Amino acid sequence: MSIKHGITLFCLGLLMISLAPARALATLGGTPDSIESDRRALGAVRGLSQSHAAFTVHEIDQDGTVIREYVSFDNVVFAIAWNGIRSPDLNALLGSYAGRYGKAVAETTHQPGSRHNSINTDDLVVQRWGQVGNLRGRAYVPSLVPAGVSIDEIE
Amino acid sequence: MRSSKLLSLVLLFFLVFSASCGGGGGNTSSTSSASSIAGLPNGSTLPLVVGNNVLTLTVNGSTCSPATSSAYPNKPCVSVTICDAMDATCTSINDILFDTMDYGFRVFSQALNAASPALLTALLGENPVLVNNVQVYECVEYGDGATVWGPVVMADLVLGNEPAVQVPIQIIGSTDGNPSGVCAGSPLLSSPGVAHYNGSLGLGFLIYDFGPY
Repeated sequence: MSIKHGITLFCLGLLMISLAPARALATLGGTPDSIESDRRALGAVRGLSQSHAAFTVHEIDQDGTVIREYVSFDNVVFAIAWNGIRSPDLNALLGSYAGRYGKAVAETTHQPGSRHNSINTDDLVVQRWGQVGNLRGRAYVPSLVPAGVSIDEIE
Repeated sequence: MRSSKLLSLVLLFFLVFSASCGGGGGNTSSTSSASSIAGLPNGSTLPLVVGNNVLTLTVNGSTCSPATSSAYPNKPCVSVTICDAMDATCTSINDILFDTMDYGFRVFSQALNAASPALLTALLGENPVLVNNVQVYECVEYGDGATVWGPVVMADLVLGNEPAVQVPIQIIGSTDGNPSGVCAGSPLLSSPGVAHYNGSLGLGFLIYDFGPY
């Protein structure tokens, strides 16, 4: 093996290592492939896909709760929204962000009498609102939201 | 997913605000018949309404428990009398959150146990709601992600001075039947101390509630 080939292989190796964490991300922050893994993890049914100006929305339906995954043209899931009879399992949907979400929830004092809840960290926002039987929410990574997309479009 | 048959309680009651928000206002001193409701006067106080079909509601007032209410702003509470399905044992529980757009009656086992351990035992053992001969448990999730969990049982409820009505109610605050945290909330409202109330009485327009089980 020549030195040149060795360097090429080394560089390929580096490239694979650098790609590996991105591909391992389960969902939020992951690629659209993860929508299928989400669907399987949640035992859900794949729904419609809709294209918008700066992103595509993929729907999955889990037992009466509709989950929408927002994918940028960079092929990254930058947001998730849901509505239905109960909230989805966020541990499955938040992927690598689940840990910091759990930590932020644990550090938040529950405010009685409130019909909404918002967890804001530097790189993750999770908001819930609604009422019994009609629960809504969204989770997004502000730094991954494509330029020109308003947060109000994630709903 | 099915909705359980925890019936919503449609209140046919006129509600009387016997204390103003935060307990800072003056109480009313006059009383009048229900027929005067059509002509309520403008002013800082409202006349009290009396009658068998009147359920007193206070906002952080006498029907709320001071022990659970300090962190809860503008908390509307009522007091409800609960009897076992045989009407053998009854007790009155205050600090019941009057909860709009929620459905049914839920009461913490801890509050029942403090008021009448015999009633709690009777309710849990006497007349459970079964599906396929299995106890129905219910997980209810609220808009902020908080949940409650517990079994559904038949009970007699007395609101105001009306006759008792037999309905399914939920006894919350127990981890029985929830071993793997299937009803994990953020947080799971596991006691009156966590929830900041002893129970809840829903006021909504649907017949059934939405708790998955």
